[in-house]
Amino acid sequence: MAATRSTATRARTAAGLIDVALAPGRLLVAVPVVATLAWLAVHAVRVGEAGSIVYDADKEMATWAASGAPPGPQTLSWVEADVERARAATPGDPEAEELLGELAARQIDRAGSLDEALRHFARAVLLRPTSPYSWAAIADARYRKGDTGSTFETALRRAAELGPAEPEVQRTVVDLGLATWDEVAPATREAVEKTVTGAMKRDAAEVLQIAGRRGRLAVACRHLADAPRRVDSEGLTTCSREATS
Amino acid sequence: MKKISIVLALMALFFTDLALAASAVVGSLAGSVQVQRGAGAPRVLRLGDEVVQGDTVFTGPASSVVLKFDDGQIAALTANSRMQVSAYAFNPQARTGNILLSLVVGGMRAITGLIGHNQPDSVKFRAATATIGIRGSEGMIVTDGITVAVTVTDGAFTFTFAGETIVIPAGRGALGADNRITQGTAQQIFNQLPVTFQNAIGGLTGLTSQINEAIANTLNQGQRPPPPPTPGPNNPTGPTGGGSSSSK
Repeated sequence: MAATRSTATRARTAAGLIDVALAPGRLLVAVPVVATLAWLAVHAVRVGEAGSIVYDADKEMATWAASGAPPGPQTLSWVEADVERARAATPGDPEAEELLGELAARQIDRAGSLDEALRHFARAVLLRPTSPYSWAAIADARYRKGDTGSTFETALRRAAELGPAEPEVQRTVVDLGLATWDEVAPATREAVEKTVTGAMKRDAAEVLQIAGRRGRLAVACRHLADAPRRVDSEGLTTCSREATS
Repeated sequence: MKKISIVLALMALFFTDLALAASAVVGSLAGSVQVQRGAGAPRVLRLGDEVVQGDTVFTGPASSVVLKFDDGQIAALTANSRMQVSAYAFNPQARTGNILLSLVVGGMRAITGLIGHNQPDSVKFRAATATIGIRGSEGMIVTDGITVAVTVTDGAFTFTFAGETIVIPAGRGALGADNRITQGTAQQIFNQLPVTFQNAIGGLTGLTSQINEAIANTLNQGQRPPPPPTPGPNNPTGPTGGGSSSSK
């Protein structure tokens, strides 16, 4: 009996010794794991907060576009400060770069604003090369800068390729493509014409309107058959007038 | 507190900008025409481009441009002209607004639109030191930056030069030079003008078909070019894009 008790005591003592011996090892594992989890939690909160700021800024900017109302300098300033804060929290966020580019492009009275916008759009494209919006924004800023060279054409083509069914991308590609129709390379014209085809299927009246303003009704009218049921009588009349002129 | 101020700012923007969101569209264009906006360098202006308040439009030799504003106002520029859209605001609901076009040099033919019909006092043209108001619908203004000639085709213009204001009815004209105004029939004024002025008026007269083309190009249209894409979380980036999950 005494021998049994003695054996049990020895066993408990050994287990305690083993526990103590293992503790530093456990700590070595536990501390980095807890620290990593804490870092991940903090990072998630920061990313979430930044995402929320970017989302709010984008919603705010959408109201400017919807109303056609240009924002005042103070509004621009606080939205820009918010998005800058979001970008600082998540430096790899292409959406923050895109919004900063758009904000810079709006500030036409600031010297070099379009160059600044282009720098942001270029970073956005590096971070997310498949966004047709970033490419369309580059094409738009280049056009407004008066630079309709090869970079403009590349951006226009990429926007057309990546966003064939995106209404806003279609509008930009059709508008700028038809504006520069005589100046661009055949490959760019082909990409623009493909977008015209897609846009005619979606909203032929809108495309005819853009084409009419750009003096390129012929380009849009030759795709009238792509959207026969969506063209109203006014559109048909416009195209038949164009055909006879 | 910040939210309240944002809401107030948005409301203020909404109400004030009903009248501010206005522009002109290039309805017809020939030769070399450029536009300068803000602090940017001048760039080529193309058919269908938008021109807004603050923009300065330049035409080169043997060039011309016809701008059609949202309210229907037409401003046609002949060769070697420079004009700034000093102010332009239009509220389409109320059909009111204001226009101030400053012709620095060259020739401009102006045909008034809705603002001119509803609020003639809100339409003004500046040429050198002269100020021209409208009480009608169509006229021509030519200046070299010092001398100013005005002829009226329809309605009447008011012409203020060297502290004197006169009313010029249709078919007549005025010449502001050497600190005085000379009045006469449009033909009499034309005959007194230097050759460069006569050429400018000839050029403006010849813009009738371009003006008609501009009206046709922008007929029944929203006129405003589509806004550039608004990248961001509210815009999906398509099936190939890596856009945010939140979409419109």
